[in-house]
Amino acid sequence: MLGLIEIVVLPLMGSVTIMAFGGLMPKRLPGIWASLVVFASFLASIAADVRLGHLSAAHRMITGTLGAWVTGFGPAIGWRLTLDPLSAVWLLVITGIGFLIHVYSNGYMHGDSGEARYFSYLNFFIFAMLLLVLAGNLLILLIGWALVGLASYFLIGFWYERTSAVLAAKKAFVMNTVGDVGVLVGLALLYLRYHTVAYPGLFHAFASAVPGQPFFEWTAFLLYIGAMAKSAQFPLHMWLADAMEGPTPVSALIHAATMVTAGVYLMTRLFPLLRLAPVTHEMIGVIGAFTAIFAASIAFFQQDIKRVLAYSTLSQLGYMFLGVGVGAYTAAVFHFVTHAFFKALLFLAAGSVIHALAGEQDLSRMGGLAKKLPVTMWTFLAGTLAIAGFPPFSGYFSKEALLGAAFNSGHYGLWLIGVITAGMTAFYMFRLFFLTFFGSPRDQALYQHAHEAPLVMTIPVAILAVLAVAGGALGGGLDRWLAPVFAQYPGAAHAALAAGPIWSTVLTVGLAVVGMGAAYWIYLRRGLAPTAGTETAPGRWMRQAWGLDAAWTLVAVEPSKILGDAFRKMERGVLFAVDGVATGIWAWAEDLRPLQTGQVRRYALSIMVGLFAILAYYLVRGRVIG
Amino acid sequence: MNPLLWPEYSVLLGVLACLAAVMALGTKRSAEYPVSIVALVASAVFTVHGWSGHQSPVALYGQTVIIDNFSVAVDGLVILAAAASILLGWNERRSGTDFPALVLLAALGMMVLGAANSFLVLFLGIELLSLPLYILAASPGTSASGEAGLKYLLLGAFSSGILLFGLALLYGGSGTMIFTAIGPAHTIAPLVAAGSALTLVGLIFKLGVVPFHMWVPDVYEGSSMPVAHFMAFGTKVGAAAILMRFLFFGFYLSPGVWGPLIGYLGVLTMIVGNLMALPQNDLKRLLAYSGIGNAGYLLIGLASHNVTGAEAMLFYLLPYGFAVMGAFAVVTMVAGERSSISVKDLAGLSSRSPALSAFFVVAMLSLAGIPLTGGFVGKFYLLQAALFANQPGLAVGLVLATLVGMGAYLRPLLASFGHPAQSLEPIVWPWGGALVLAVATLGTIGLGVYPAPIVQIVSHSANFFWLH
Repeated sequence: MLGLIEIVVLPLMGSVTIMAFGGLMPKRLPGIWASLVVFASFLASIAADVRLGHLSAAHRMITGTLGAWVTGFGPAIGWRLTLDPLSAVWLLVITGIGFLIHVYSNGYMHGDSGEARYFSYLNFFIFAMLLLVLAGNLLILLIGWALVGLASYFLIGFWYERTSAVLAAKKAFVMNTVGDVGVLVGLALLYLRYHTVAYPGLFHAFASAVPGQPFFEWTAFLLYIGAMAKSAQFPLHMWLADAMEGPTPVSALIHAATMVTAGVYLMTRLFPLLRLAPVTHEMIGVIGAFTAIFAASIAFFQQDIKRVLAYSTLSQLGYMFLGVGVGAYTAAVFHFVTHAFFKALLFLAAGSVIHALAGEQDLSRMGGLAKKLPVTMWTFLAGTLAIAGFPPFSGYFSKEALLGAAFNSGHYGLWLIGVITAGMTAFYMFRLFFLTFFGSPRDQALYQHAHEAPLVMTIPVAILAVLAVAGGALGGGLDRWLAPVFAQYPGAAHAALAAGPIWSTVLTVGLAVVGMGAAYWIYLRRGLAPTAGTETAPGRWMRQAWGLDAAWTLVAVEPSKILGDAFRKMERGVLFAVDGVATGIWAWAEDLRPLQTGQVRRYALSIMVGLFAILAYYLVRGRVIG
Repeated sequence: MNPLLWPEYSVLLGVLACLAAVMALGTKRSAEYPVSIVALVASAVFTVHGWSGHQSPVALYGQTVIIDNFSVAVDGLVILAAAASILLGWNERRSGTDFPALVLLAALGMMVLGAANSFLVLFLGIELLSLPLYILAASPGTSASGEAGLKYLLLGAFSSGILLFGLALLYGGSGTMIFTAIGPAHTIAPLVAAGSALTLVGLIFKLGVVPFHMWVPDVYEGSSMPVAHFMAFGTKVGAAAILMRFLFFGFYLSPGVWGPLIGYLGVLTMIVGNLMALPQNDLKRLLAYSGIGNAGYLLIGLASHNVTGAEAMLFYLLPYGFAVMGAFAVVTMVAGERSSISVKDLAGLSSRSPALSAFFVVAMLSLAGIPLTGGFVGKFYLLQAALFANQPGLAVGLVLATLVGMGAYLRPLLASFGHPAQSLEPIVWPWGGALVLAVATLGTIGLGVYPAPIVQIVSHSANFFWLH
């Protein structure tokens, strides 16, 4: 159907074939096949986007219904796919970066006993994510939404022999389910009111609605809960750090570049609804800004290379939601794109480090690796500069656009938080960079054996590095590309990219330089260990993520356990009652008797009784009605 | 020879061919099974062709028979039921050589019922359906088959007498044999009221509605598995079809008279049926009571008296049929040489044959109405119909009965996952049973996940315009 179905079905086909025949395939084939399938999907995405670009700005949308899904007994819901400029951006990032990460995985997962299973899951994730962004209505979106959660669960728990991986997978799944419920209830409310879940129908209805009604606040809030869980916004953020138990390419693809930005996609997609829910809209920005600075503070004292990156992802997601919250939708999408570049780069480069050190992730056993891993060092540096917001790297442009929009729209508080967080980001990222690649090796044995990754891993990293350096140039084009989407319905008047005051830029970059300098001073000049400061009170709190895990356990997990116990007892009671009913019937019923004693006379009597009752009913009823 | 009747003709020709095969080849070589399947396949082809061919109803033989999308849909269901029965009893020496011919003949009766528009055709169809089933119930398959057949014959004759009396009164009161010709003035005349009551009793006796249900478990218990399956699926289809023809075509002007009655009977039937299914130990008796409970669900569609109800009722027959096919196929395979099995015999099925146990789970969950199975979707549509008709009582009854039914259906499941197998004899997979099982399972899950195509068919078949 119009080139969309192929994009979605190809990765599914890859997943199914690998799942079914992975055992029969030669060792390296599943990875190659999976990468090829995603590459084909990438090419199809480009073709679809090109065709989309040829359409006139007012009708820039390709849509098609595969068939009816829920029909006949009420409003119909179809298998409907839609491609518009917004989903096109996600499409290219998912398939493009997805392909690079597939290629990288060929090197990273080589020799793992579950290689076929890994690629099957990874393809399945691509399928689910594409379904999510290409969905033409909220119900199909929810299917993709739930399936990416499932794929994430599989991949976090990929090394299922590790207890920690299994626990992390469970945690992620449970927290994501909270979000799924939010989306489900939100879309059910919309369906009850408008009898449709398709985007155009809903958005047309929104266009003429009056903002501020409680109904809109509630639906927007419920859908935001979904986005919150998927994009790991405070307070549903803890699963993301634990999700690092999965293989590193998975962290790069799912838990940095694509899946966790699904919330940003959903909120951007629903901008006409956010117009109607000003309170929720404002809250999205506030929580986003808080998540940004909160996660940055946690990253300060982390000891695990991937956990630092995980918290930086949280922080950057906070930036994106800040952008959504202040109505700077294009800037949020722009930051999603550049973040996908530099964060995928950082994770893959970190993966190369971990690969080189035989699986070691602890910062206190690294150091001085620049000599051993020059390519990785340079690419990592590119990513670090980009995320820290140094001009002219990509992160600088998107972050400036976000902060500028926050300032222009009068959200000075959020702007200030964003600026401070930028400085903090530079500090913890350069701490990570210096501790990994410079100073003296803290573990000689590991250092001696370190070696640069094979080409199949370094080439994707290098491509991502180029994108992370130059990706900022996409901004103007992206702005023009997305303009028709935001012009279609009211609610995105300030969506376009706009620069803030020049002194704001100077301040942000200045703080970033200070952060970098502080990291240099502390960890290189003074040569402090990575663990320095973790024993002080604030350090302990920050390192343990402000104790929120314990808080959640106390507030949510324990009561749920009590509730579950209560239900189990109730169930026992119900079972007991059912047994009781069955026994009661045994004791009482006549026609339970086995065949030989069943009496035809009695059966005929029952028929006669019924007959007379019905006859009497008919005669009386006929009289009454007549 | 009317081209629209080819589905019926091919079944009739199949009967004759089966008889000829038995006469020509004797009882040594059984060609009648393939012959009957060929006839059913041909009939199915004509049914599909007829479905795509005509959209508007055609009245034949002086309006006594109506061929419309509804009758074609009923044909399809009957063919499915008959084919599944014959496959389940494939080359079964216990069923005897006349088994395929009799099944085809009964199927023909059911197809006639689906197209009936006159009292005479109604009676013809009912008798055509019943007489072969009397013989099938009495044919030596189980230790009690003779008793079951005799019981069925006695009570069947009793109800046929009531039915015939009712039809005579109806004719006397309304002056016409044609359903659609019964005028508005007639529908509340006392003679017609009495006639309707008696006719209704005759029809719901076949459906197995409480309090006319008592024969059902005994007859199922005494019949062989394929025959019991055919009664559980095929007879229900035929009886439901003729009830819908009779009430929706003949008495569509007076739903206020019969609607509440059908509603009361429906709720009574589904609650009693599911309650009585709870303590059953013999699986055939359990499935018989399940069939009674499901007959109650079907009545909801009638009592709602709206388009949704008609569609939901027709729809429900398919997931119910798939579940019955699956359950009987599993029970047949587990029983092997035995004629009946109890819940205890299922113990350890999951370790004895995981695949069979998985199929059994699907069938049972569908009967219980668990989401992602066709049974859930069917019950959901019935519930919706009751709510659209502003009859919350029906909806509450449906939910309560389903809750009780859950206990009944989960008990055998529990047993199948329970203690290690008591009987360790290997399970034989006859290809016919395996095919039935595969179709039933695929259908059950397919309907649960993607019911749209069937809903499409149903909404064209039961979309009687006067219900709008």
